[in-house]
Amino acid sequence: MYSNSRSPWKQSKLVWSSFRYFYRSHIAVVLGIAAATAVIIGALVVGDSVRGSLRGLVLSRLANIELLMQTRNFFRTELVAEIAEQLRSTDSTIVPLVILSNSSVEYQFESRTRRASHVQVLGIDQSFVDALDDSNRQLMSTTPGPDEVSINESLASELGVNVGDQISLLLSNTAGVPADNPLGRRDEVSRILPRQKVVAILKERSIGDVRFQTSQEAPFNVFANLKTIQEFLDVDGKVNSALVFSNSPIDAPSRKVFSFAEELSRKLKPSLEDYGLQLHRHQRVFPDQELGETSDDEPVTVYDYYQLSSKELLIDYGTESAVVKALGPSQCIRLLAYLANSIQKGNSSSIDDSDLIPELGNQRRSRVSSFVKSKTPILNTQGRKVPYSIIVGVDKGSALEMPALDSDESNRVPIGLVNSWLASELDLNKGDRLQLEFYEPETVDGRPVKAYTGMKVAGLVKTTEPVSPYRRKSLSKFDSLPSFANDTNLTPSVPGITDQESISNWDVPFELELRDLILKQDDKYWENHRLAPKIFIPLVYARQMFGSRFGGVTSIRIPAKNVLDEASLRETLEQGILSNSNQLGFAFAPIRQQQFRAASGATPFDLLFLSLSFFVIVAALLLVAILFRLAVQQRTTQLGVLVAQGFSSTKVQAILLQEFLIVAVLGALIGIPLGLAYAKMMIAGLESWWIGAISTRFLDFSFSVKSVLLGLIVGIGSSMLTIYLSLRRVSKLTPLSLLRGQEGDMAAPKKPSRVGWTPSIVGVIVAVLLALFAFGQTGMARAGCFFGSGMLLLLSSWLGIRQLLLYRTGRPWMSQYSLIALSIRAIRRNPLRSSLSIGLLAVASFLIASMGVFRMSPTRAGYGGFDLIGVSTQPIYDNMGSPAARREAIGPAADPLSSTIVIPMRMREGDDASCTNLFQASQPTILGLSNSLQSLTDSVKGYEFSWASSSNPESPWDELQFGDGTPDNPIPVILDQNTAMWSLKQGGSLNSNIELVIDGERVVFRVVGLLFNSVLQGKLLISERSFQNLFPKISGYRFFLINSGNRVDQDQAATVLEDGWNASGLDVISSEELLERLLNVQNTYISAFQALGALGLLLGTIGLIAVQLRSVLERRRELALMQAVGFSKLRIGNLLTLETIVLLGLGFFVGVCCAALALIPYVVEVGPQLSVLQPLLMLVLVFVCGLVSALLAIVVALKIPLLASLKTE
Amino acid sequence: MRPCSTVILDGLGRVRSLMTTNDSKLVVSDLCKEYRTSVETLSILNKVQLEMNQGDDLSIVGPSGCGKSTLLYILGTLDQPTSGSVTLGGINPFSLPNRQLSAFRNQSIGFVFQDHHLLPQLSVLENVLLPALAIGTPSEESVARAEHLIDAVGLKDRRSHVPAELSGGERQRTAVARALLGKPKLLLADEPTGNLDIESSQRIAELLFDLPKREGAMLIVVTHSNQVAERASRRMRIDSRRLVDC
Repeated sequence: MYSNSRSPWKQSKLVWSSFRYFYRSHIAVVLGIAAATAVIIGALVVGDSVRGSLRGLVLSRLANIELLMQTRNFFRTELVAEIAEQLRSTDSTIVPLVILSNSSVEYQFESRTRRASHVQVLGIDQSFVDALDDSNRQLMSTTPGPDEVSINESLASELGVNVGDQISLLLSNTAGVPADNPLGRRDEVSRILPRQKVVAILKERSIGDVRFQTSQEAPFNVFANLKTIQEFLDVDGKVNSALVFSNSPIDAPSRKVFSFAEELSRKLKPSLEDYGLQLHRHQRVFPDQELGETSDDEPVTVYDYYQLSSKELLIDYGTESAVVKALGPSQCIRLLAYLANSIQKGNSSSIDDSDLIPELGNQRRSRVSSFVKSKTPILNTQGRKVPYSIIVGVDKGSALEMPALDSDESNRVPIGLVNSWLASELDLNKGDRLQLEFYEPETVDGRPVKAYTGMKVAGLVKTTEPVSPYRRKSLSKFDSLPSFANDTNLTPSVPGITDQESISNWDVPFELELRDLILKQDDKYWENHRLAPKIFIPLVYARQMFGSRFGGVTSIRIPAKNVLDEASLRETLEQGILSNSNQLGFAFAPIRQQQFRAASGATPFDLLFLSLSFFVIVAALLLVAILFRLAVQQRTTQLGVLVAQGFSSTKVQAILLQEFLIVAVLGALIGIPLGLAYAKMMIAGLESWWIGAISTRFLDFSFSVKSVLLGLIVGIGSSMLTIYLSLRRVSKLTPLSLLRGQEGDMAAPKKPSRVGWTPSIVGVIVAVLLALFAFGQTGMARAGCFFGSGMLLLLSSWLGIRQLLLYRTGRPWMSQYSLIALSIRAIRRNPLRSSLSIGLLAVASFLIASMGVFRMSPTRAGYGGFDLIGVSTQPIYDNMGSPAARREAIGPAADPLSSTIVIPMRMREGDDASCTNLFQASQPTILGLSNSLQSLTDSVKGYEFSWASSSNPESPWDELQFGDGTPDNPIPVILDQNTAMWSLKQGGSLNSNIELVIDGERVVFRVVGLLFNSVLQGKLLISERSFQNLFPKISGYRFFLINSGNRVDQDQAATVLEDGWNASGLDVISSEELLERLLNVQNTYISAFQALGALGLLLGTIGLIAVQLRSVLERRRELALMQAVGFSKLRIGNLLTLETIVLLGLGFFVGVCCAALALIPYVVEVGPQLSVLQPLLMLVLVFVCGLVSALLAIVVALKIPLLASLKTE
Repeated sequence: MRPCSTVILDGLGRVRSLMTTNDSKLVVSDLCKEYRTSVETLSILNKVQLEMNQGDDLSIVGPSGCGKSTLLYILGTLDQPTSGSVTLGGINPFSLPNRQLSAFRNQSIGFVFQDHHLLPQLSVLENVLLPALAIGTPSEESVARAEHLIDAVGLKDRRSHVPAELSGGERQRTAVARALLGKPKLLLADEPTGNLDIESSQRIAELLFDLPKREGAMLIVVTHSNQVAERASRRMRIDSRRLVDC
């Protein structure tokens, strides 16, 4: 009986027995597989760690915050209280607060002022602290009291502030009339809240670092007392943000949270005041006994209506259309009041209307739809100029019957009614023509621009003169029935104007040039009628003249007779505007979920490190292949025996594969701890040597089981594939060859065919052609061509060397009896093994030496010749592009800047989409660029940027035309190639579309230009017009390209600009330094690749040593024989060392020579800056390590009693 | 008579067995073997003719390098002839596809090499059972036959020993047992006593000439040893690349 019947004799037993028996030779393979798996797992774990750390940042910074609502206008805290009531039964809490993102902080220290800009000020009360989770509540035990603040650690260290110190906050003014409106305030962008005592410094990675934009860098945060902030900003009882905290926040992707945010947003019921609107009822009866008016007639209602107006002067288009839709067009009357600088009668000698019709008018005039608007006077005028009057555009259906305009738009003469005062003042009659001078509704470069229009008097409107003028808190009194034209509410109230006693006292943001024209009768009109309009024009005409991106009406009137009561009207209006509330910010954003999503990262670090570790993996797998082949070589005869016994070659392969599957699993399992250690090493690298890739230290080691399992499977899979491919060669051997132990290239020599040299020759020719072609290319294309050429040459050289090694029967090229000849013969004995070793070393040394070609240094074209970049926290309205305007703004301090060129850009701040931000940017910063840059480029040389591609290479900036962001009319955009490719993950091709959701709306951009390694990385550049259309409420400029010029040095220019616009928080930095920081990310990856390449090379060298050791063992009889005939051990050692040197040297020589070719363009362009020291040191180090290890291996091998080997089987 | 053969495949298309006619003849006709080197073409065998019947034994002698082993390996289907034909049991093995050739080798041919070529990781019993493993899990019958053969070669007490624990003669006896496990039609022995002392050589020679005969197998022994060669009922030598009777 079979002695071991409980364990039947199966193939698996043969596999297991073989595995156990050959465990010594398996150890090396196991280690090779472990190395490959470790590198794969390590790279995946680095990805885990980066994502985990980014998630960790989100978790620590957001504490238990789930949702955020941030509005443009301040709203009543009651709005939040209503939601709080509804959340009472849930585990969520809503907290009102003020968030002021673009603030600055100053700290006076020993007569020096330290300043930090881009500071986020949060006005909080106790409810904020109470809503926090336990750990953060303990950290923030008390709310800052009045004039007290808590700051986070990064701000404290930036300013050098300690607890007890006092700091000043520079806070932006709350929204009023937009600054780009001629009546908007441009001179008071921010105000200082002084002497705020620092009561706590909040440690990092806590709620102290709360940040609502995604970036791994710690923000600068100030937590101030809510009441203090509200009082300072004059918004008592109002806030601009609300946070929803959850006792059990959801930290995994969840649709539920999005639904919760939507549900909560639907519950919001903002009032008109929350939207920045106001609704008033205006009623006038005559006689009004309260005013003391008397009349014989019965009291008559002159007017009775509700009027909706905006704190921002103009009602935006969205709100206007929502209101009109809610009420019905026939139920409301829209008005657009505007200030005319002057009104003058046209020359009566001219009776032709051609001046007033665009088609017939002068070519210089711009045609605004069907009306003429010109920058120069359009009529010959006569008589008096009436200064500073209100013109009002009146909608159809008002109490005032407006004359109809000609239905033929192309031949339409603008007409209007004038009030009786103006008619009398200018001696106007029906048919007379008037010229109106006014400021354009939007300023240009922060300055109001004059414009003119002309109209024809279609009739008169009676204005009743009062018996008693306006008094403070008292309307003017009449003794006869006032008219529609007496209604001063036709003009919305503007602080500084409507509340003044005289025109001369007006507090306006522009100079009252026509002050001298103000006559007694004008003051009298002011006293009697205040801002009652003098001219009434059709709304369509007014909108075309005075409408702007901010809106097209100043008020909407609803006749009281159409309204049941004010409450129902309010409800109708609020319901109507609710459809537009998303755009006004009244929606909760699932900020936690959004940030988690962004934490998935712009840069896939796992893939990145897999690519960076590519060579280590390849080297490890090649090592596995070499070691496997060595192991199989030992057993070739065994395989032959199996074949002789009737095992099919497939079965023999299967047996070997099963055996090596055990080896692979074992190796991969050992690779797990090694991989985790490797990841730790990489993280340590990223936190130190490679800090340039992540900008700031924030990485924590973490891993997911999924990554480890994936790495394990990929490790086993790739190793098994390598083994299978190596085995295929063995399986092609004849049974007899196997039996005789003639593995692969040890078989009988062959005469090399002529075809053998062809690939090498073709490769060299193509490499040379590619190199020649490369000289015609530029930038990355050139580097790529040369790199490709070098790589091709490397391959050709390797094939050539292999062919030489195979060519055994040719004429000897050196004395056959020298030691070197003997060593070369030994190398040629196993051509495949030797050429694999040489190839491995050559590729590694090539990569290390040539990767420097992709290392980038800042170039002038990278920053377009603008040596400085300015970014302000508050918009700057002065035209910084004009030396005169600069002098006007900051006085003689601007004198050194006379030759300085500044290109201002509008900015909508968003996520940093440059390579330095590891979060995925969903809302990148958008810049609005006027045509000034193209004009400058056209006129002066040296301001050209480096382009990856452009639709119009001649005038690339001209491609930034208007687009409204719809799919049919996308906004042309220029951006950096890296931003397009990596940060936005939208591909990097020209004419491709980029879609972003901005303020809840989908906006489509069309790529018209891609900048190459530019300082504008991370930003989207669109035309100023597109910008203004997309962000109508954003005024002023915040981003500046600056060329310091030749009359001042860079530092001095930066200082002058920063000091001059200190109140706007202007930061000016060197473009070169910024670009260097941006390029440093790429350069750091190259360094990492080189360092990891060196690791791979080291692994390759270990492989080489293994091969050498194996070779010595194989040849032990022959070496023993050499000893027997008188070779000393030293001489044999020299022989073996020579073999190693030849292999190492050939590999390094080929690799470095080919790399030298790849580096030619870089040497030509950069010259002495080329950093050869680091790669050279690496290569020398690896060469020396390889040599020393090989020598050690030889010493060990020579210690084997060689003479005894003569007797061995 | 024209020989015919049938190949039986399992459900997966694997060769289960080869059914041949009762004709177990070995017929070698005009067999030539040449080797091409980088310099010239070497002719090793030229128009070799041979016929053997069931139970025949044959020894082949000749100087080193004359082509004895080459002939043996060709007959064992481990090497291919340049021209000529070989049929065993009516089958020309060189016309079979690889998988069927392996099955043919497993069922029709047994090898004994000069160097025993035992797998060092396996015990005596396992080594003997190796041919059975080539076509699947060894059956109870295979195990019983292996034990019987081990008994027959005198290694009953050594069956669980590994080759490293055996003497040279014992290893070669194991190899003989392994070669006979599949009841081959043709047993080929290449210098079976080349590495053995006289006593062991005699023992192996006895086994080689006794066991196959009992099993009804043909035996071809290539040897330098006259003592071994003389045991064969027919003796041949390779002369001028041809096989001729001594």
